Amino acid sequence: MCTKHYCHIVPPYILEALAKRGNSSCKKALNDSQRFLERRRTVLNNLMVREFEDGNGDRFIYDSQNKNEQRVALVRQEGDDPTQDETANKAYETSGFVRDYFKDTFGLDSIDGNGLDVISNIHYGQAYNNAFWDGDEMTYGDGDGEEFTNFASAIDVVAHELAHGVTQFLSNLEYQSQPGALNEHFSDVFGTIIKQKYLKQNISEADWLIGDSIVTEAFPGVALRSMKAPGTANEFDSQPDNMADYYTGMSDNQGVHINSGIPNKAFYLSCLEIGIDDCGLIWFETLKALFRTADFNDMLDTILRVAQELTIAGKVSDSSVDAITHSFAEVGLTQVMV
Amino acid sequence: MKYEILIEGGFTAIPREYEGAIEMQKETKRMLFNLFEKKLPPENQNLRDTLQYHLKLIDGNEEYNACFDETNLPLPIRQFIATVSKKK
Repeated sequence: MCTKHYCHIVPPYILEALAKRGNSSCKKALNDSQRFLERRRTVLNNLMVREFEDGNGDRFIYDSQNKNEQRVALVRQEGDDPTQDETANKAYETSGFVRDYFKDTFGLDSIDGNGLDVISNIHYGQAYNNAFWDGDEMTYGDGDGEEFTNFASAIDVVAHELAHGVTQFLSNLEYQSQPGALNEHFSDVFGTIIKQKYLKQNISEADWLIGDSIVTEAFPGVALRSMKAPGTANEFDSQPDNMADYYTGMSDNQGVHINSGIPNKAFYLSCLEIGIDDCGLIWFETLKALFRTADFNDMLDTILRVAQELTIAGKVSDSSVDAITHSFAEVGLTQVMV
Repeated sequence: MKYEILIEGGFTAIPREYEGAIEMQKETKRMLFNLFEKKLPPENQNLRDTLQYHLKLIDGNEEYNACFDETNLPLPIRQFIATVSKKK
C-alpha cells in the first residue's frame, strides 16, 4: 500500500508505474512533484510567487488596454452590472457558463475544485492572435481583424482555455509529446461539449469545429480544428486522425496541437455511439484518473477501466466499453497486453 | 542585419515565419543583442497555448539565437518582431 508520506520519497518512475495501476495517492504525488519543483525553483531565484488565493469561484474581468500585461484594469467582477465593453460582458458570460457546466455536471467547485476565482484578461496586446492559460488565469487577444477576431467572444475558446486549468489541477498532464497532446485533447473535448450545450445543439446539429467563430472570411479555412474530420479545418491544419499518420517532429512541443487530432476523432466516434453526456462523464472521470506523464496507451487503458466502473455503477450506457474500444481502434489505438 | 523569426504554438497553432534584412543603428542592435544574452527568469511550466518566439539575428560574423515565451519576451524584442512582421 502506498501512503501519502511514503509516496514523497519514491522515485518518479515507480510513482508512474503505480499510478498506471490506478493508485490515486501515487498519481497525486507524481502530479504534485512538478508544481513543488517549480515553486522551489522560483523561491530560490528570489522572485515573487503568485500564490493561489482562496476564492469563491468568482469572475473577474481585467482590461489589458492593449498592453502585454495582465490585471491592468478591473472592469467587471461577480455580480456587477454589464459594462459598455461587449468583450468584457462576453468574457464574463462565457467564463460563467463554463464554470457552471463543470459545477452542475461534475460537482467541480471552479477550476481547481476548490473555488479558485475565474480571472480573465481581455484586449491583451495589439492585434494579438492568441488566447492562453498561464497557470491561474486566462488571457485573450482581440485578433488582427484580418484573419482572426476577438478570442474572448468564443465559447469554445473560453472553454478550451479554462479546461487547461481543470487539467492542470486534476491530472497535470505535462505539455509535450503525447501527454501534451492529451492535454490539448481534453481542452478540445470540453471546448466542444460546452459549445454544444451553450448553443443548445445535439450531436447531429453540431459542427464539431473548434475556433470557427474567431476566424474571418479572409482566413483560408472554416475553423482551427475539426473533431469530426481532423486535418480538414483549414489550409494549415495538419492534424492526423489515425496513429498511422502520427507526427514525430519537434515543432509545437512535439505536436501537442497536431497529434491531439487522433484522440479527438476517437471522442467524436464515441459520441456517435453513446452520446455526448455519457462521453463527457467518462472523459471527465478519465481526466481525474490520469497522471502527469500519461501517453495514448495509458489513456486507453484508463478510459476503458473508467467506462467499465461507470457502467457497473449504472451511470453510463451498457455499451460504453465496446463503443470506446471500437472508436479508439478506428484511429489505430488498441490496448497493449503485457 | 539579417533576421529569422519563427513564432509557433498558441491556441491557433499556426506557425508564422519572418526572414529578411533590416537596417538598424549600432546602439539599437547592441541593445537587442544584450537582451538575447540576458538571463531569463525561470520558465512557467503551467503555460498552455502560449506563443513561442524563436529568433536568430545575424550581424556580419556574429550570430545570436534566443527563444522566448509570452511571459519573458522583452518589450524591445516584441516591438522588433512587430516591425519586421509588418514588412512582410
